[in-house]
Amino acid sequence: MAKEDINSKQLPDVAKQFIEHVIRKVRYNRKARVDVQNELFTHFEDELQDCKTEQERQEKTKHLIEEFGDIKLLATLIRRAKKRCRPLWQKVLIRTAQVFGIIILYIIICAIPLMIGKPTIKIDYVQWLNEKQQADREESENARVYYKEAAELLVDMPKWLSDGSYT
Amino acid sequence: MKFESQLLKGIAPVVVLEILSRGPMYGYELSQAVEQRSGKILTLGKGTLYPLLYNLEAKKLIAGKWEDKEAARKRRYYSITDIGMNELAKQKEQLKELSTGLNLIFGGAFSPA
Repeated sequence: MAKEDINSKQLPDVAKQFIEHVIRKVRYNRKARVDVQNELFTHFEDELQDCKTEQERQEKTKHLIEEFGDIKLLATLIRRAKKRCRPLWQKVLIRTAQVFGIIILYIIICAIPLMIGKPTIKIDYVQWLNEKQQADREESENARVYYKEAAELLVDMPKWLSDGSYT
Repeated sequence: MKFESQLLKGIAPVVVLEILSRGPMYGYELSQAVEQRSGKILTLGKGTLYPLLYNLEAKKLIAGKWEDKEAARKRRYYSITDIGMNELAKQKEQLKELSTGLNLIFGGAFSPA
């Protein structure tokens, strides 16, 4: 819709291009951009209405574009001012969404090491527990040695016992 | 005469409010009115005109409305609001005090002839 409006207005091409660039750089909602575009168009039309020749129109257009200044700066100022025109409920909604977005981003950043990382064991808990158990006890009272000997002395069950032929 | 931009920075909103207090105007008409009524001493830069109007609109000092007063030409007319009138009165009072102070410092250099 914006492009059709541009072509229907009787302005020099350089003016249309200037306005198109400004509107593109404003980067705001469509309604605000259309309003600004129409205002700029009518401003140019009013400024050029007294021009009698095409050359005069072209020169005045160039002069006007210079007076408007840097496109990026103009678009930034317009966008900031239009953002200030937002109703309070919209500002609150946007701020709330931004805060939620930041919180979710923080959670994701914290979760990334958990998802891609591998656990590294820094503490040998077996040794730790053994040390706790063995503290203040004589090593000679440790029955582990005798259990180990008994396990080594363990013989396989003889065949006559395992197959029940002893009866 | 080219003024320091900082000197004019605070003046532009109150000038716009004063001009609009006399009747609704659209952007181009407003910039012409400022120039004519100030004897071409003050000019509203084209690059600051519309951001200034939108800022004043955001502060609810002026209200904008699309109207087609002339055939086939729809324009956005700006008019001052009640809040704008109060703000204008406050700013004018401050400017009067400033002018008095400056006159005292500069020995009456700013008094009308």
